[in-house]
Amino acid sequence: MQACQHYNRKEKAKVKNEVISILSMASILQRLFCLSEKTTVRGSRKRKEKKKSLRNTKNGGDGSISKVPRDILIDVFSRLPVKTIFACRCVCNSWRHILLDPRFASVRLSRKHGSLLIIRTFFHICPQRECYMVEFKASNIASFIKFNPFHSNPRALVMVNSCNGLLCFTDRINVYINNPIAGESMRLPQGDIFRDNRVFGLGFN
Amino acid sequence: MSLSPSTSKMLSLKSSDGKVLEVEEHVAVLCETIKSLVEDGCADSPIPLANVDGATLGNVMEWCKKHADQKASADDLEDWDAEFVERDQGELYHLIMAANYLNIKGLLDLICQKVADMIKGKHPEKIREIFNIENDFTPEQQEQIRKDNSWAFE
Repeated sequence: MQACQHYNRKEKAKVKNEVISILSMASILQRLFCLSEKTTVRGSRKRKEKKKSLRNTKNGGDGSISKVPRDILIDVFSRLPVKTIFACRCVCNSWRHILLDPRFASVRLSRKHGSLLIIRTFFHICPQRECYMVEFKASNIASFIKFNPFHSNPRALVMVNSCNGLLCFTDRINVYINNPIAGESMRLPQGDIFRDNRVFGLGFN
Repeated sequence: MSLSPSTSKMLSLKSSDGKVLEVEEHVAVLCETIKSLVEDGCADSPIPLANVDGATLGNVMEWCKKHADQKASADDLEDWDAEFVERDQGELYHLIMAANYLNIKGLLDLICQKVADMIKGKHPEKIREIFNIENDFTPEQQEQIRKDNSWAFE
């Protein structure tokens, strides 16, 4: 929600003037990703911990893998399936920040995991209108994850399309962009463009 | 002993705790950090490796030796690697730090994958336990995270 308001104030004027049916998502994508960039690691304390643990070889504890530098942790996390990444985000603050960092997203993307398919159930099949992420490895289904992109009134939202890993939803009044991997959503500012132009989609340039 | 190219000379490496290890050059240059020293002609005296202790250096060179052996088949290396990473977390930690410092991509890849396999499919609570990580979320954050990710734990 904060993201929305932040976006609202700054970009409203700009967006209002653009008559678009296909939205250019580059800046929005950046903005979505930048949300997590403010939160970075506290370096010096970590370094001290590392030094300390160099002294203790055998007794596990202080030589914990979790103390390795951020870049190595990113390397490790980038090898994990989506479902485990979500679990890792719930481990501690520093892991959470790393996993929401756009650098992590780009390293993971470069690793060429299997594709991720987003499925939205139809209302007449499933009244909850759930979203599923289906992760493939080679041509087999590796995991199946149910997720809820919006907590409030998911029923009324219709998925418009997806682009570059972002999903576009609408309730016919507002347009929402969701990043399912980062677990972030934002509402686009409401401008005159949505009043008459009911055809829109998500694009990238 | 692995069969090495006949011209390989010996390099001596000095660990952080003062142990000196004699290693064949064609083995040691699997470490990019050492390779660039050799190329710059700075590898004559014992090379001081301030960030690697003796035990870890021994393990790293064992890996390099195996991987420098051109007779080893890919399958053989894979099996050998799988056994090599069967270590406690303290040792893995030191290996990962050494592989990073010495810039040995193959070894770093191997251990990163091992650590990823240790995490894969685990719940947050279990991951904290394995890696001895403190749960530093505030109760409010905890509640929010549970709400946002409840489906991730099914």
